[in-house]
Amino acid sequence: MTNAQKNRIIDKSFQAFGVVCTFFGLAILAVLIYNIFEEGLSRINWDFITNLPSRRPQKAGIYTAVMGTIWILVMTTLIAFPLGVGAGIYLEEYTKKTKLASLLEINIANLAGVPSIIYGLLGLEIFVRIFGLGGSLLAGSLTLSLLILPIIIVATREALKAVPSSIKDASMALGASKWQTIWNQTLPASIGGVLTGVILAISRAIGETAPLIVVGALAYVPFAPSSPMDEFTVMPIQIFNWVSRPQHGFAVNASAAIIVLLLITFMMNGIAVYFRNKWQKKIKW
Amino acid sequence: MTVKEPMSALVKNPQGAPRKNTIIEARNVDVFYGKFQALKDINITMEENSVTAFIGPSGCGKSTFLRCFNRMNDYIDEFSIKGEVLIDNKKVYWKNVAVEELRKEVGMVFQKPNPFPKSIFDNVAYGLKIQGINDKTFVEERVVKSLKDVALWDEVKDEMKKSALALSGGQQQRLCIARTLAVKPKIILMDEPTSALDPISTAKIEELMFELKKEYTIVIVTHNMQQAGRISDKTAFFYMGDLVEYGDTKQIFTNPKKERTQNYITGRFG
Amino acid sequence: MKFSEKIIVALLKFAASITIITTIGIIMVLLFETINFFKEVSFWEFITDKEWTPLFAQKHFGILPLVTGTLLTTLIAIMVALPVGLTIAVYLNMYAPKGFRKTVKPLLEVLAAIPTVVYGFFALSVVTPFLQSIYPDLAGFNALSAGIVMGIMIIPFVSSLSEDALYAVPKTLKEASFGMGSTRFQTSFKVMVPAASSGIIVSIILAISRAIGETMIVAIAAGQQPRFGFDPTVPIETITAYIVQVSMGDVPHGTLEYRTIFAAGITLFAFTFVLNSVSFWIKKRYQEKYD
Repeated sequence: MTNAQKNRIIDKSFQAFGVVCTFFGLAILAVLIYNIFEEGLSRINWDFITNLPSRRPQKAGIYTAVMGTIWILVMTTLIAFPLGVGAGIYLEEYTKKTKLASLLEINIANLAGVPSIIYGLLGLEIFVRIFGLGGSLLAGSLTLSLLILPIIIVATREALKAVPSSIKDASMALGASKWQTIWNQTLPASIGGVLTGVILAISRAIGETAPLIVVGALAYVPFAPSSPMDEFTVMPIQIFNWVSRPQHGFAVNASAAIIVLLLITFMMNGIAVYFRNKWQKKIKW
Repeated sequence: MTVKEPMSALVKNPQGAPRKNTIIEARNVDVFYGKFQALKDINITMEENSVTAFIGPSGCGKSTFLRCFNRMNDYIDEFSIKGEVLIDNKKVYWKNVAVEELRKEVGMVFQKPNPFPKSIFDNVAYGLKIQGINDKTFVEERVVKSLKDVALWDEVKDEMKKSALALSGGQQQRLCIARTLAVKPKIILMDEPTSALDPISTAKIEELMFELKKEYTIVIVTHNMQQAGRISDKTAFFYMGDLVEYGDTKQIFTNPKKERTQNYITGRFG
Repeated sequence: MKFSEKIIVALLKFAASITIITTIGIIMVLLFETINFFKEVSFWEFITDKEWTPLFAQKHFGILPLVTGTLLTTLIAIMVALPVGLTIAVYLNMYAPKGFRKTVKPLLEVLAAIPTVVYGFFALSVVTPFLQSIYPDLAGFNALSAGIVMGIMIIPFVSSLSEDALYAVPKTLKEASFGMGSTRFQTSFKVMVPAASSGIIVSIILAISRAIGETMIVAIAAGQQPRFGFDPTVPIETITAYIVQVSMGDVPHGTLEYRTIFAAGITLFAFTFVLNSVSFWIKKRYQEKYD
């Protein structure tokens, strides 16, 4: 066998291996989804969504967890959206390229890499104890807001960076102040990218379990929360709770709840992708 | 610190009585980017309702100087300036000047057409909108007038809601000029406004400058020597941060006093 | 500047300063409770004792079992994610048709978007039984299953970020290699991967950092038995799983048990902080090189 032939065989073998690896990833995804749907789909009905938790798997529902997740979603958005986008604007448009600015950048990169459970410890000590919020929705959403802040900031900065400076110059030259320029030109032109980042970040927050367990979200909450100071549980914690129980009925419940959680997650990711595409199509400079 | 009246923050030049007709004046202007000196001791005066052309090789400081008149250099981190720039006998770089007010008086047109990703109407109305002017009929009249002034009205009057990005390059640049006119500046700065355009669009914009001269003072940076010769009353030649020669355009092009000017104009370098 | 605009800028500045406050907050909180912890437990015991039993009557406070548990699951995860992820990256960049790459990359990224509690359930109810059918002695809770599933979860970190790095390599390099008669395989591993090495290393470090901090998969599938050693077939406990275990119970503030989770937390934080800093440093240097 000549050298060239040998090389060609190696090349072809690697290509085959590449196909296998790629489909391995996709196949696992398919198996995971198939398994969960097979086990849980028949369990999903209106009662399952609207029932309160119960010790008997057939009667147990996810109502309190769904309501908790919705509360967390809304409150985290209200806190993290303005703070994250505001911080992104400040860092991208108002800071000069100084040592301090690069320190801020390193800091945010590091925060993005801090494990979520560490944010849980922060929330436990600061919000739950020192602020005295207890294991409330407010403490939980404040904790999650800090967790996703770096994601929103980075996405906002990327989106703002993509707006050509010629547009900003034109606005400034017409006598617009810096903020008028940002509000009227830079933000509208980058809103697609900003929203994409925010939605992806919120979707991450919805799937988080560990930090909320640490701040004291409960596995068993008899009633749906009705104010930000109420105790709560969320879908991932409800799933965790059911997964940890030995009876098969709860595993079925966990699968069914996972279907609902996955639908929410995929829907949010879908919306994010939609925003990104729409935005890319609309603006060609 | 708050400024309500336009230009009220620009103090009267304390020394010397205002000279008639002079609208832009620079006295001993030095500009630095960090340690690099981009402009060296520039002194110049420009008259009302004239067209002044800045010429010179790339990196000679002409664009930098142009941007001193509306302080578009403010956002460059290492920028610093010494000396005085006066517009209407008011100090441009006085610390209490509201730059936003200054830029309403000194408009600017850029090298590449840079319309906002908005409708044609919104582009022209933008300057009024940010001033907080909401009177619909007033805004509409001003928009139409501005578009007529740049001879774009007939081409776009039926599609004012259309995105400005759909216009051709030449149309976009005229739109950008209209957008500047709508704010009613006294001075219009043009930074190589035709360098990205085809010859026909260029001719249209040059034609437009003759009209605009009646109402506005124009300062234009150009790489195109013929253009400078055709449109300007006065020409300033910059080289490596120095203002080498400044005078009537005819004189500069036919009988330059400095050898460097001569060499540049005849194309021996640049 | 107008007064109203000054207020807006002040608000924006406040928003930005929250990131600084968060970092300071994390460090202060961890340090404060850890210092209290070391008032009762000797530092030497913490780093040398091979048993971690703070919740038992016979208390031991050696962090090593949690550290080995964390390292073991991370190691297994990387052994899955690195070869698979890197192969996918090279395949998508050098072999696959463009349209295929455009569809498959976001599909694989879905793997990283799935909530980790779902993976935990998957590891416990699908992967562990499957592995037991091959190796019957495998315990119901084990590091192997959790590590493998964690590896699957971080595949897109390696594959997408490495592919981005390969994509950023100037086309001329690739063409030069092909021009000399190299195969795609040779070009990939002799030219492209070395040229993109810093980006690839960053992606691997980020994946490791993610695996070390991952909580729910190990909390559900790896067990709750701190064990010093590297046996992947038996139940273990990671740092993160321990914090969850304590948080699920009702541990009152101010007790030694409460402080153990902060001592464990600061250990975890130190690991990820070092990894993140290294990756940031590499990234910065790399950018300077190409600009």
